[in-house]
Amino acid sequence: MTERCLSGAGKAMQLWKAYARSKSAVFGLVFLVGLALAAAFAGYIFHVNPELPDLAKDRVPPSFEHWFGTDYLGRDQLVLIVYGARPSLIIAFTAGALLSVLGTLTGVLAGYFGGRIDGFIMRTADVFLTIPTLPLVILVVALMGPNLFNVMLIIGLTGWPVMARIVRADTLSLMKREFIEIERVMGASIRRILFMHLLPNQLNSILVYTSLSIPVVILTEAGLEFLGLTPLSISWGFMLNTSISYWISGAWWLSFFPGLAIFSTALAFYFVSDGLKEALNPKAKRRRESLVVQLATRK
Amino acid sequence: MAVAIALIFVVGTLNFVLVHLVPGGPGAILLNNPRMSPSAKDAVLRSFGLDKPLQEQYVLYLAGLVTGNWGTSYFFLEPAFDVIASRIPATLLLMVPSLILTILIGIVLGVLAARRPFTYVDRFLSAFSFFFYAMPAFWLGFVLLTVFALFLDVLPAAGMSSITVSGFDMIDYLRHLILPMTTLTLVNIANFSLLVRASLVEVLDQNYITTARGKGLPERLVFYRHALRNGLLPTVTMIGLFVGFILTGAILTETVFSWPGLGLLTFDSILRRDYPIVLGLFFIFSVMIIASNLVTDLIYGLLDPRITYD
Amino acid sequence: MRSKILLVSCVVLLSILQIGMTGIAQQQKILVVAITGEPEITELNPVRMTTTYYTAEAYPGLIGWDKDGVVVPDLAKTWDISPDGLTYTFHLRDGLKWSDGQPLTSDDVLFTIKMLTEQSEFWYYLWAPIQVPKAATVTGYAIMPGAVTTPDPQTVVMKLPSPSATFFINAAGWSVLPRHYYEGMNLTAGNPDLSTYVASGPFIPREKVAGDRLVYVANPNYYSGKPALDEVIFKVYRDSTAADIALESGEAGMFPNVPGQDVPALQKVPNLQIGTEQNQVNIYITFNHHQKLADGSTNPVSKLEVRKAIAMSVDLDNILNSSLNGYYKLANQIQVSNMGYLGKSVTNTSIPTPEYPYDPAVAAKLLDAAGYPADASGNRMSLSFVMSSGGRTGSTSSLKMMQLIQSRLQAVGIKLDLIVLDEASARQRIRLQAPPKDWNMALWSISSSPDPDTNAYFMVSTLAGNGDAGGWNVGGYFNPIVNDLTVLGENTTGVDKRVAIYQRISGIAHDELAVLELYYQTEVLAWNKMFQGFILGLGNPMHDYWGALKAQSLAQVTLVEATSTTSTTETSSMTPGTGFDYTTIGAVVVVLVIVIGAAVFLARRRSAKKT
Repeated sequence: MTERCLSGAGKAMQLWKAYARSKSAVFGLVFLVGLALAAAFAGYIFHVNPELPDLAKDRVPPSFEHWFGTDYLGRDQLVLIVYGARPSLIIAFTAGALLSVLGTLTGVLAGYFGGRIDGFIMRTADVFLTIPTLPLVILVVALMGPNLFNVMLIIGLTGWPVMARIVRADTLSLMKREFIEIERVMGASIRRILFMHLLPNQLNSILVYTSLSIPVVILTEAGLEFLGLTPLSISWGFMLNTSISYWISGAWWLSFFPGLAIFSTALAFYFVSDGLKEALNPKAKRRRESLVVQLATRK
Repeated sequence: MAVAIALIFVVGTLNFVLVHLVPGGPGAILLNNPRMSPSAKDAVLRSFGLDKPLQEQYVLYLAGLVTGNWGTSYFFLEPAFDVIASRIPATLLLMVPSLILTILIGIVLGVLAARRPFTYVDRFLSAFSFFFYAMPAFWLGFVLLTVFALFLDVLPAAGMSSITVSGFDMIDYLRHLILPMTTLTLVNIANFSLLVRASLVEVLDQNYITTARGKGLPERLVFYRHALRNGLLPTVTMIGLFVGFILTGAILTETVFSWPGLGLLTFDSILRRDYPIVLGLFFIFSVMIIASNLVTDLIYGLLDPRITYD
Repeated sequence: MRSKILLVSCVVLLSILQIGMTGIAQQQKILVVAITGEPEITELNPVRMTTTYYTAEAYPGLIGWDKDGVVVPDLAKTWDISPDGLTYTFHLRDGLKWSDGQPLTSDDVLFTIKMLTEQSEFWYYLWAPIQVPKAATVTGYAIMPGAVTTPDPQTVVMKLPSPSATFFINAAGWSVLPRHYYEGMNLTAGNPDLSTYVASGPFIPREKVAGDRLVYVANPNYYSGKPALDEVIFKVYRDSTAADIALESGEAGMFPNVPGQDVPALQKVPNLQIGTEQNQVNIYITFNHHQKLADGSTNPVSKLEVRKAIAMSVDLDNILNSSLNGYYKLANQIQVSNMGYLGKSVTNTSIPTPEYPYDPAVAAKLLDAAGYPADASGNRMSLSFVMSSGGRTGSTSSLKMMQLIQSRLQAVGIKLDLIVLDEASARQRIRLQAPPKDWNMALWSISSSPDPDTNAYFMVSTLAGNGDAGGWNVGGYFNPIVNDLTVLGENTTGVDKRVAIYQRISGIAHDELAVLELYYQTEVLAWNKMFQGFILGLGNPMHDYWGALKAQSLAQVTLVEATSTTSTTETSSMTPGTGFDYTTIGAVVVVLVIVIGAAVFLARRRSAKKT
């Protein structure tokens, strides 16, 4: 393990330099930050109530006045898309965080304790991996009622096994290191080992894999909205849902822009995660592998 | 093997519990006729075995899973097993070609990229995979449908077979298959080819490859004779993983294209609260995934002389 | 190896596209009707079905209706009603046959009444006037002894203990079922086998492919003669857009439920014809009339002033025009505008259209007076509104309509929380939930029978538990006068008296705003011009209760030209059967196994050689 004897600011600069080597990573980051800011301050940017219908402008095609055209209620789509970023980004982060925390904790505990606990945790993870996520999510949302909280919860709850596996593998390899052995012999508490040694050394990986799982969260959430399983609100997936009925009347922009938004955001997160992986991974020898490889091959 | 079976039972139990947590119980949907007398309601519940105590229902359910008695569908009023079984061919007809195509094209692309890393081919592959990894399948399907079924009118808009055809017509089936299969495979090809490429690259780093090169063997021989064979081994296990992905993808794809398979049935049955079917479907999905994992593990074992199974 | 794969795939691709391009004439006269909801198999089971949508072609009744709603003979060629209104005599046509050749006689009529009375929870009420309680049956009822007699194979006599205005339409309009087919079948536990289905109407349901289609074949024994079409297929599409596409491409021949906003696009297609008709579906917003909701909160809409304010806050004509693209009829009372009794309209002409004028200012004042003043940000109250999304991808015209209404209500300070649920959840929440229920308003609808009793009974009465959980009076509106009037209406046979009763009920419902009327449905149908003969009229030819019209309509449809559009395919060149070609599939599997096995074998050998 390379010790970096740099100050905090220096470290950050180095990190940024490594990250910025990839054009796409920077682009993705800029896009996301811009989107998040626009979504957060949408009220100030657009001085219009996004939900207010204006029948006179029913389904106006993209024009100078309305860059993305208007929807079936006459509402400007650019405004809708920006507001629609809110649920997507919120769910992306919260479900991602939930998934990450859950996965990390279980992975670390499995790796640390080994034996029966490890077996139990991994078997549970296997169960979740065996049930295909989408039907399970649909089932739970249909049963428990469509509200954003349930959606966040269930996406987070079904996403942890993959994370757990990776963290467990990392933990296991860390456990073999001498300094852990020393700590244990000295009688250090679990909490100390966990929070001072095991977790900090995996922070990089955890960050990377969390950001990798976010595109999937976004797509799953959009999928649920598309299937009509979420409450009525301004969201990209739901815009796609309602757009289908109007498509035959020629209003292609109703479905094109929301789909483009979903796609771009997922792509941006993917770029960012790839960039993070490049920047944080100390082994410079590894070339541009997909993170999914490691996800798949770590058994 | 034993693990696999235990897994199936655990999954089955989980589903059972989930379904019975619903307010009103799973049978609520059967009682929605306002003119039903209480005695009739009891009769209906009885005919579906819902009046029995929970533990008994659970045992019957587990036993039924294994023997193929999955209860009677609330919607179709036919044995759930029959309903699901009748839809399996349709899903397989979509999944299997997609899987094969994903594997073949994925391997081809991955090999191409690994052969000439960091050239345009490789970069194209990266871009291609990024693109489709982030692509919402239902949007892609819908766009394809628009272009080919509406604007160009060369491919059918929905379903698996045309009305005028009775029995099984290969050409007609293929015409209906193109769009859904394309949607389903594009996303997975991108992913799969990257995996292939990555594992090949890793192999190319190995010592024995350097040795072979040092021996003066031509690059082509090195690549195809040595690297390829060893590099492709991990992809076998990945195939097991992809069966799961394709299964999940099938649900959304079948919805967009009205392909009458299990995916559509899943979604519809959940919305209709047709629990016998839902439970049976989840069981089938788990079985498929576990089975494919087992099969790929076995094949991997066969291929890799280093591994033995006791 | 790679190039070989490429070559093969190119060849396959080319051959597919090429074959797809050639248009080949259809061998059979088949009408494909696009539908957007999957028919449950129970809808072909007489005891369990909940609409006559799918059996109308198979089972005509004693009487039918023409496109203007006038009763016409169907299986019965004439009938007599005694002056005291207690005896109904029906004379069947001569030579009626079932599709399997057996004669259709009065015995089948008797059997039908008996079977449905005793076994069908949904339909037994049709013969309520001639029923007595009997605990042993599924429904708890049986026919009054001697009420239905069959003096000869062509005659059925029904005797009532007291006059009933609804009996004729209910009893005579209903299907006649074959005794020799259904006798002994346990229809509560299972469904009839479609491959042996016996029918008397123009088309017999022959095959149902789950999730895909319902196939009807022509009945050569139909008394009006064999239909011109050989087959009618109801094909299921995911939503109206897919159905539109299918219609345009020629894959579907008819689409009976075109949403208003799709019409302009379809009008541009040269070989499509579009027609409209006024059916009898009434769409309205139902108010929850309980003073407190299930969670204990006070329910503002239980106050008449609040309901009036809501009615005056929405400019319905504009809203409906925009959501339905003009295809609707503005509603103002609970009876649909084309409802009548024996030729006389039951419309209460003193009720204005629209029901209440659009006047947000007055609405605001009403709300103030009712005790709901606006706060600093202009909000007065929050109301919950439940609606069904209408299926897999939903019907967005209802959604659009409700979103517009939502914004209008917001303008007067009423915050409407729109809860859109899937059908099952919506049904549970709106209808099956026990009163007082947990919502303030809901979107609801009813499809009328050809008798004014239906809307009065189901919309605003609480008779027979209609206001309880599972009842159709989902808002729980209760007015004992309305209940009494409804009962009176069922028993009054004199035309003028009866019409006056229903006009009065409509008036009361309007005065008390039992429901907020939205619109009567205008059905838009589109079909390929090569099919002619559809009868458009009072009811949707595909609709509930107008089954006879529908059957007549389909029976008369002819295929004008046999040449097809680009998307037909040749009939099967492989084994024509109903299953898959297992030989091909088996061969493919065998080949795959051999290939994989060889690859594995070779790989092992080579790597073993290497080490």
